Amino acid sequence: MSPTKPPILQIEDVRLTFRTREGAIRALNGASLTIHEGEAVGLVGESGSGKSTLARAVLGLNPERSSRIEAGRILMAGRDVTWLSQGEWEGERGHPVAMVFQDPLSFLNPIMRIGRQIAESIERHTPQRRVAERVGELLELVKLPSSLARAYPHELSGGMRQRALLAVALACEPRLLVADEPTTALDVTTQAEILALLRDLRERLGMAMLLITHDLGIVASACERLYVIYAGRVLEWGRTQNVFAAPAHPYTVGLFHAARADRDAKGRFATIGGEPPDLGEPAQGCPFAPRCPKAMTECVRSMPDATVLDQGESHAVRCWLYPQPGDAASASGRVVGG
Amino acid sequence: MPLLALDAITHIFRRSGGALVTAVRDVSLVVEEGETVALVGESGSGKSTLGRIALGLLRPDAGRVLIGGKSLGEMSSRELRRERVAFQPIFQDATASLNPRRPVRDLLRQALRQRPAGATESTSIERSEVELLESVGLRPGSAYLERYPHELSGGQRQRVAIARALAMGPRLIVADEPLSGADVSIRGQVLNLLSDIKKERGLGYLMITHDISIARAFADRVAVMCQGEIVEQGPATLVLTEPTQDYTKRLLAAVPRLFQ
Repeated sequence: MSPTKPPILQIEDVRLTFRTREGAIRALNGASLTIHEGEAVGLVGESGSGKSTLARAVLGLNPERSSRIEAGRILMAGRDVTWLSQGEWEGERGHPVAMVFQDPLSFLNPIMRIGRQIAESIERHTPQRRVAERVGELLELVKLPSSLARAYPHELSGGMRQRALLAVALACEPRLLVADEPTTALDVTTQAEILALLRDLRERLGMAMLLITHDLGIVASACERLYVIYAGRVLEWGRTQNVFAAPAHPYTVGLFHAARADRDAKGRFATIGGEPPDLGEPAQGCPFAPRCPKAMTECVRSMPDATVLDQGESHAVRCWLYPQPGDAASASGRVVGG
Repeated sequence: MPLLALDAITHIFRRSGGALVTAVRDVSLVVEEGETVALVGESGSGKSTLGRIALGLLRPDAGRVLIGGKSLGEMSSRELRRERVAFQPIFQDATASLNPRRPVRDLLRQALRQRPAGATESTSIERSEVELLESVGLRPGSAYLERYPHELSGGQRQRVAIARALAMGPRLIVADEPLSGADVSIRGQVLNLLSDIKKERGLGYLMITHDISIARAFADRVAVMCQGEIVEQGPATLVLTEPTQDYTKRLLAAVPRLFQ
């Protein structure tokens, strides 16, 4: 993180609820996150953690009828986009933020040639005589041969489809790319190629990236900073190397053990006990408390503030195991944006 | 006598246009009693096809499948039905493999009924649905009997699928990507359960996976498949730390590291 660069995205204490027949689902319970210009940030969570909801909120893609942002705000390059209507979003998408998804096939039109789909996203602000040339440039940018402009999505491999979707996303020169599990459906060797391409594109275009994933290994290879989200709350964040060197929240610690398939002294694989959280219940304390091996009485009562863990103020955790900002023990500690 | 021996198996698919695709080419693989073998490869490598051949769900175009020394191809259909029960599958998507309109009790009862008398000498056979559920860590078992698959969490569904496989008293479990659908925090639970089952019952596993970390943590031996062929096989610790083949090296290098 370069502190001199301004933020491209600020999510501040966002609460988002889905209305369902079974009642309200509290998908985001006060989630905060900041991404600076040019920065690659990972958002790590399991299914139901709210990571995709958060990503969609950034682009106004959550359904207007059934979801509602109850509190908090989302600033994009300093501009408040929290309350934009669907109509207002139409003009926003693609710039300054674009998104790619896990399953490119469901976002590519199956009966339209790849070149045409890329052209659609640039025609609005590109002179007609420049369109074909620009499509070629975009294909080249994602390292696809320009002949693929004539191909249909089903003729491409999974990796090529993801590149094609990436070309569509890059068409409007976004300053932030939101990538939701972009490599989950791919083989490891193809995944490595796509991650290398993303790294290369970010460097060449100076583009920031929010990478949503359940895979800590991908964060290690692709992101400078990361946020760990659980039940709609960010529990820990910091520079990738700091969090990896010393994960602080018991949930993050558990995730690392599980991801490495670590075993204990008895040869048992490390597990996180219990069941995933019920988002129908109003969140009071720390959402991880029911599964936490170190839970205390405070944990079920209320959510602690953030504790800064290092001098550079880049690594922070929200957990009662750590001194609170007001405590005498951490008189110097203060809350930083996260 | 190995539990399962695949002997020079070849399988060819015919595409709709008539083109022939050799999914598995001259593959030999052995799983000993109580052994865990991981079949590692990328999509399209033929590993799932080989798994289905081992289960007797697909007939190979060439080669033999031997169960306890007897060739599947030479069995009568009655014999085949009886022997095949000894090999049970667990699939990636437990939701798709459990009938959504049946409660857990029915799913397990159906499986218990199909268990052939005397098909297994295993000492720990559960005789009721409740015992089965508790043996896969769903306690108390009675609390789960009336639930439908959609009322269970992903981890619970995978446990029910495992319980159903165990109801048949199998000697080999063919697990095709059993953890791909599971969250990271559930993975350890399922791996522990599979280890316990292996220890208690002396079951063999053929674990089909694209996940190197699972193969490394769980398997005794590893076979690496690429384009229908096994390019390298041997003890897991050796193959996954000092691979000799270029493809295995490339595969290992592509896995994102947690610490670089």
